[in-house]
This record gives sequence, C-alpha cells and structure tokens, in this order.
Amino acid sequence: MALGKLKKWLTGKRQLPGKPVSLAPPPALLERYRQYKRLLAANSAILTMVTDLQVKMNEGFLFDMHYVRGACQRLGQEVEAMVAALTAMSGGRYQALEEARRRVEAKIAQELAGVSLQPGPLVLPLAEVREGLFFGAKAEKLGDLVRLGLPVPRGFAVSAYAQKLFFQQTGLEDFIREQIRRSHIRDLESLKEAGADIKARVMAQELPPELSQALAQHLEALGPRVAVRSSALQEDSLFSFAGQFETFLNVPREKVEESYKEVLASQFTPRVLYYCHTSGFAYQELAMGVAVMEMVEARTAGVLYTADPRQGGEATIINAVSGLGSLAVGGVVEPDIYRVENEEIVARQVGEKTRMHLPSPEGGVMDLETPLERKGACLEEPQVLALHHLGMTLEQHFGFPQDIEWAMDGEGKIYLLQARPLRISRQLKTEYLPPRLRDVEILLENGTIASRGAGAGPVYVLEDDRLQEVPQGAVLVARRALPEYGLAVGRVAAMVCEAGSPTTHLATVLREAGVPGIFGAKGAATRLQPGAMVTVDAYYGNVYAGRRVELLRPPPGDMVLRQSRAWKVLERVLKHITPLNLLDPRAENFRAENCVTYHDMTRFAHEKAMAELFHISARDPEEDGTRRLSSHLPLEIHIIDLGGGLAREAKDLAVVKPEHLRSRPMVAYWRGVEAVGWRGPRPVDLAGFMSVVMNAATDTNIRERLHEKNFAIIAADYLNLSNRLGFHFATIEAFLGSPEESYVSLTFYGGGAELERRRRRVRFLAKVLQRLEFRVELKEDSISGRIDGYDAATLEEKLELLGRLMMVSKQLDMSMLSEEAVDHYYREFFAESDDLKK
Amino acid sequence: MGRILAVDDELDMLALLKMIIEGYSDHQVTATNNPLEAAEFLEKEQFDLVLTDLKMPGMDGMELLAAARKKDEDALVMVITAYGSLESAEQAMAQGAFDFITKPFRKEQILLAIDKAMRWREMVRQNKELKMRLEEEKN
Repeated sequence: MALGKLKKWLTGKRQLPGKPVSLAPPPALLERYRQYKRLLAANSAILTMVTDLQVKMNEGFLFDMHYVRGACQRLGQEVEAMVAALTAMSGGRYQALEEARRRVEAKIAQELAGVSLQPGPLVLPLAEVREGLFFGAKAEKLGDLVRLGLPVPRGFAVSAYAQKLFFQQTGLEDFIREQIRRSHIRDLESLKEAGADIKARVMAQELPPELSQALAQHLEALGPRVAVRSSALQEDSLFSFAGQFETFLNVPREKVEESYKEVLASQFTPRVLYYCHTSGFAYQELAMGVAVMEMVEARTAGVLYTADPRQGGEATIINAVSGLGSLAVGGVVEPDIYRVENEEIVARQVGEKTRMHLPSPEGGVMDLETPLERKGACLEEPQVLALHHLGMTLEQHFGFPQDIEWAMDGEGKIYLLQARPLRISRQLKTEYLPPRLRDVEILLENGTIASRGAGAGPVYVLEDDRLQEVPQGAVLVARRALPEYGLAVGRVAAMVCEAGSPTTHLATVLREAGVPGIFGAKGAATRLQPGAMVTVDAYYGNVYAGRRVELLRPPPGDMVLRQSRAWKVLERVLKHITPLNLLDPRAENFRAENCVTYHDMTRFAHEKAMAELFHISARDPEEDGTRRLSSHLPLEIHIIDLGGGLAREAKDLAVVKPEHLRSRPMVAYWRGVEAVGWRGPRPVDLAGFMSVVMNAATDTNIRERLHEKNFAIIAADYLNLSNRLGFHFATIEAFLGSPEESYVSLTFYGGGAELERRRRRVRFLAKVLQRLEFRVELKEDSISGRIDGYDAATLEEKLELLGRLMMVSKQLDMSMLSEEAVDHYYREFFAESDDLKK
Repeated sequence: MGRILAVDDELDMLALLKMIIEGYSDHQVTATNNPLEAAEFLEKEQFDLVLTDLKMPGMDGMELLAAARKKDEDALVMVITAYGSLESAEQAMAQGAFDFITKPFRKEQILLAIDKAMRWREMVRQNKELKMRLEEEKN
C-alpha cells in the first residue's frame, strides 16, 4: 500500500478536488502578511528617523526643542505601530515588548520635560553648594572653586527653591499667573505693564520668615558690604534673552533682602512674559538662585579668557579696568588688554579708561571720571602672570577654556568672582582638503557615508562572520552590513562594507560609537588586501592606500552648538534610542525584556516578525483560497496569492501556469527549479532503496505527510514555500524589498534513507549554502539557513540557485553512500551551475 | 559688519542664531523671542537684515515682514520655516521676502545665506548711489 502511494505521489497523478473552491486568500493569513508589511514600514521609518536625529546632532545643525520634541513624538508613534503589528501577527504574544516600549517612552518623556525643581535647602555656604541642589549654575561653579581651594570671596547662596517658597507662600504665584493670563499677547504695552505690576508686587511682599532668618544668620559671617548676583537655573536659552539680570554691588547688609527681591523681579521682562503666555509658567524655567558674596574693595578688576575667544588659539587674554569690574566688558570704556602666550606677555595695550566704578559710601556704585594717576596700566607683569596661572588651573580642572571674572584688592590679592565655560566661536582654520586627495593611490571611491569620520589601520576581511578574530585597530571589511558586526565596533578603526545603507542597524551603531564607516563599497572585499594599511575617508566615501595623517586630524567641532539646551536634551534622549544591545539573535540576551532602547526593539521586532511570518505555512492552510500551479514537472504546488503574486489575467483561474507567476522571489526560485527539471532517482544501492520502503511503510508520520500538499504563499515581494521533494520537507521563504528588509531562508529536514545518509545530505546542503553565503545551522538531519544584508537582485540569484539545489538534492540522501559523496555532489552542483551560466 | 534682527519664539533657536552669527561673522545680532518687541525694534532702529520665524503666537512672521517692508521698501527679510511648511515660505517670498531657510539647518547654510543677503544689500546701496550721481551729473 505504501508503495502504491509512493508511486502515485512520485508521478503526481493525484485527483484534483472536485468541489469549486474560493480563490481569495484566507483572511487570517492575509492579515498576518499585512501586519508584517506594516511592521516593515514602521521599521524602516524608525531607522530613517534615528539616522536623521544622529546626523542633526553630530553634523553642525541648528535645531530647537520644538524639533527634538516633534521628532521624538513621531518616532514614538512608529515604535508603537511596530510593536502593535508584531502583537497582531503573533496573536497577542510579546507583551514584554510592549512593556519595554512603555518604559522607554516614559524615560524619553522625562528627559524632554527636564528636571523639575525639587524642595531642598534654602541657603547654604558657597562651599556646600553643588550640582543637583538647584542653586543655579553660577553659584554651583563658585562652590566648585571654593572646594578647590581657590581664592573666592566668602559668601553663601540662596536656592531657586527659596524663590518658589516665597512665591507660593505670599500668593505671588497666583498673581503672576493671573497677570500673564490677563495681558495681551498682541500688545507689547500690556506685557510691559504686567511686568511692572509683578515687580511692584514682588518688592512689596515680605520674605518667608525662615528665609529671612537664614539670610540674616549667614550675613553675620560676612563683611558689612556684599555683592548680590543672580544665578539662573538655565544659563542658556530663556535667561540669555530675558535681558540682563540684575547684579547689585556694594549692598549694605540691611538692604540684602531688597536686592534679593529685585533680582527675582528682574526676570519678568516682556520677553519672558511672552514666553510664559505661550509655554506656561514653570519654576524650572523661571526660578533662580542668588549668590551673595563679600564685596572686594577692588583696585582693579576685569575678565580673563583662557583661550582666544575669536580664534580659539592657545593664549590667555586679560581685560582690566580701574576700580570695580562692571566696566570691563560692554564697551563703555576701553580696558587694558594683556595677551599671554607660552608664559610670556606677548601683547599689552593700555586702554583709555575714561571712567571708573567705585563703591559708594551709602551703598551701590558710583561712576566717576578716572583720575590721571589711575589711567596707566592696571597690572604689572607678575600680576598678569599670576592671573594667567590661576586661569590655567581652572581650565585644567574643568577641561574646557574658561571665561573668568576677577578682582584685585588694594594689597594685590586676587579673587575669582565668577567662572563659566568660554564660548569659542571661531575655530582654528583647518587646512582645506579636496574631496579626492591628489598623488595618493586611491583603492575605492564613491562609497556611501554610513558614519562620518576618518580612520586608518590594517585591512581585515571578514570571512564566515568570525568576529572574535578581528584584531584591534583594524579596518574591518565585510561583504554585508549585518547588525551583529556591531560586536566588533570597539575594536576597529573603521568599517567598509560592500552592501548596506546609512539606515541599517550597523550604521546607527557606528555613528553611536563614532566609528567611521563606508557602505555600498562595491568590490571592497576583493580590492582591499588583507593586512595592507589603508585610510578610510568617510567624509567623502574614499579609501586610500597607506596612512594619510592629513585626513585623520579631527575637524573643528561645533562646540557652540553643543552648548544649546536642545542639543543637550537630544544627546540625553538619544541614549534611550540609538544604542543597540541586542546584536545577535542567537545570543541568550535576545529577549523582549532586554530591550532598553527603541533600536533594540526595532531589531527584536523585525527578527521575531520574520519568525512569525515563516510559520504561516506551518499550520496546514485549507484548500480554500488556493490554486494549483500546473507545469510540465510532476510537482503539485498550491498557490495562495496575498497580493501581486500572480498576473492579473490569472485572477479567476483555479489552475495557473508558471508564466502567470509575478511574485519576484517565486519567479526566481522557479527559474532554478525548471533549469534542473525533473530527474529520476540517482543510482541507489539496495540498502538505500529498502530503507525508503521500510521508512515509508512503518513511519506513520511520513505516511501522513505523503498526503500533504506543497503550498506556496506568495505576494509581489514574498514567497513562503513549504515543499516536499522526495521524503524530506523544506520551507523556503524570501522577502525582496529594500536591502535592509530582504532575506532568503530555508529549513530542510527528513528524508527516506537511513539517518547517516540523511546527515550526509544536509552536510552537502550546508556546504553549498555556505558557499552561497548563507548562515547555516545543522542538527542531525535538519538544516536551517539564512542570508540577508544583500539587495533584492543579489538575493534573486541566490534564490534561483536554491531552486536548483532543491531539485538536485531530492532523493539524494539515498545516494549518499559515503562521505566522499558529499564532496562529489558539491563539486558537481557548482560545475553544473557554471555550465548552465555559460 | 551688518546689523541683524533675529526673531524666533523658540528660545533655543534664537540663542543659537545669535551665537552662531556673532561667533562666525562680524555681524551684530539683536535677538528677541517676542515679535511685538521686534516690531518695536524695527520702528526705532535700522537693521540690514531681519531673520524671522514664520509661525509665532501673537504676530506671525508675515506681519513682521509686512511691517519691515512698509518701513523700508528695500528691507531684507529672510524667513525661517519649520520642516514641511514650504508653502508658507513660498507665500513669504511672494510677499517680498529675500530668502527662506528651513529648520533644522546647518550652521554653514545660514551663514552663507546671510552673506548672500549682505552682498545683495551692498549692491543695492551702490546701485542707488550711482543712480543718484548720474542724476546729479545730469542736473
């Protein structure tokens, strides 16, 4: 009986179903495929947006918070859509991924909202003021200087929280909100009036008793006169445009409360009120700390830059005026200017200093004509050098050029009044380099920039994905741009891939790590010699022979842009978006709960969606919705078209012909099938034949599968073929879209012959597939393989060869008499393929 | 060296514009997030170029453009538009804006655009001067 079935099956003479069947694809299947396509669309949108965000951050763009918020929102929506699609495909599994998504979304929202003002101490001595306590940047920096043992006048600071307490306890907060609400956004005068009303109300209110007491107590430790300086929480953005914040010099002790209130009130300019009108009133935007420091009886004072702010060159620039430092900047008087280079004063320019500021006996500052005896140079050489050394100490400590306010008392003692990072605008001019270096051997050109930068090292051509062997400092050259290559990112100087685009996972990882990368560099793996020193210029997409030092100098960074709030927020937000922790799908950590970034989720969801799609043929599709493919080959294939897989004229045909096929992967595969055609069994020994008969007769599993049909689920870009040729079972799947989405995979197991021969057959298959660059896994008599990272045209070629391979290997297990047969058929396969090509 | 008025309700962008322009060129920037204040500046002071965002609450860039052109028919106004609002940029150009730039943009883009505007302004000035001299010679 078994033999009869076998014969019937082998000759393909089976009865066609008599009843008419619907030709529409089963809705559940169609839905799953649609969800897959939705997932792919979201996937590609996410990678494009991530690329865009990285480029905006690192390549000299100006952007604002509006852009950052908008981009994060759009990105979040796509990630949500992607996770929803996977959930739908899997029938509600992957709840853990949705949970991970929500965690990341919350973290991003938190970064975008910024830190909200927290309750804390109202007043602290400067030495105890540090970051995170909400005293504002200026006071925090002064705290740093005191702790470093540098000369800072004695003093204390009032926290931003003290302002909040003051505003809340006295009803000022409600009053301000009401003023903002009532003023007219289209009327500047009304904004000015609101500002004046707020100021009057602030000045009229008593400070909370605990604040008032703390101020009095801390003032006792200081001299009779102090300086009261604003210390905004947000040094940039809002406050840099709110106007000049008040700083009061030479304030008598009894007037400190008044000056404090005046500093707070100075925030409510028309600009700030306009801002509040549109963005609301929030303490983290509109609260400030205040620093109170003992007044220095300055004989001379000024500013010091530890680098040339115009050119960024190595020099210390000191401006000095007579008396208080309030005239040193702003252009009212011409100050003295000293320039120090290499421990030497290289330029000295004595300014005219027509006027000067001095502390007034009744408090405050008096402006007077500079007496003749104080018009000469303010500083002598040792004092200039002492200032220079102080500046260097600060720069070394903070690791960045500094902009310092200083004062010197009558005895020549220097005090630091304020320090902040220096804004160097113009960078040192770099030598212009043409896009293509002349007189240098060029090895590759016009590659696509995947990650900007330049790197040099010896070439290492990746074979068989053996990443652990990539040497430190190498230029890694690969045929594809697979995500798992990210594992080598810490070791390589640069990467060159023959395939891939800037929106692949790997490109994102390279940009994240700052490793230069060129993708789409055709022929790189053959043209770049292993071990040869090369320079990868990923600014212009070229690879040069040797080490080209001129390319390796980093270009001037955009430090100015990096000081903006939007840039800093984007940098923090991207930490939850771009890093890829799930590099290898075979690794233990490749799980939904381990996704901590959007990039992880994208990688995970795509991988799992492919697995879900692969299984659409695992459950036997009903005959409904299928049509038979009729060809000269005795193969019974039932086709389910999910859309675009068949020619329009085949719409109503229950039996279609190969020429009706429009599915790109199916057409390619079928080309291979037909090229080989139907061949009779290979020479078999008796043992091999008997084994088939015995297996078929006794193994009920196999007997049942003889009734199975071959199903091809197809679409314009998709193929999922569950196939039985001989006694083995194979599923071939392919998706041909963009290079990032495209893949071909197969699983293959079973056979009619005894186990050892079946094992030999899969070893033969593995050998062929590996040569075709499939990643292969073997287990007993089963094999699974996959190839991706190539464009659709390349994968079509592979599919055709796969079609040939499947036809060639049917019943081949029976002929696998010895181990030599593996090599024999391997050579034969490629010899025939070459013949056919010719 | 020219005088530029920069107007954008997004403070980060405004801060950057000022820093970038003053850092990388010799132009001086007066910056405000409040278009009403900008209109007031325009009344009181002379600017070589106005850089303005288009979409702002209270008074949009179009109104500011009109105000600037009303005061001085040669006023140079460059509008800054958000990504995806090319239409409003075209509209602004039709209303007499000299140029437009789409956010986010590269530092070099804005600097080159300003350069171009300033050269244009200088050419217009020279042209007027020559015409006047010709007129004088005729008379």
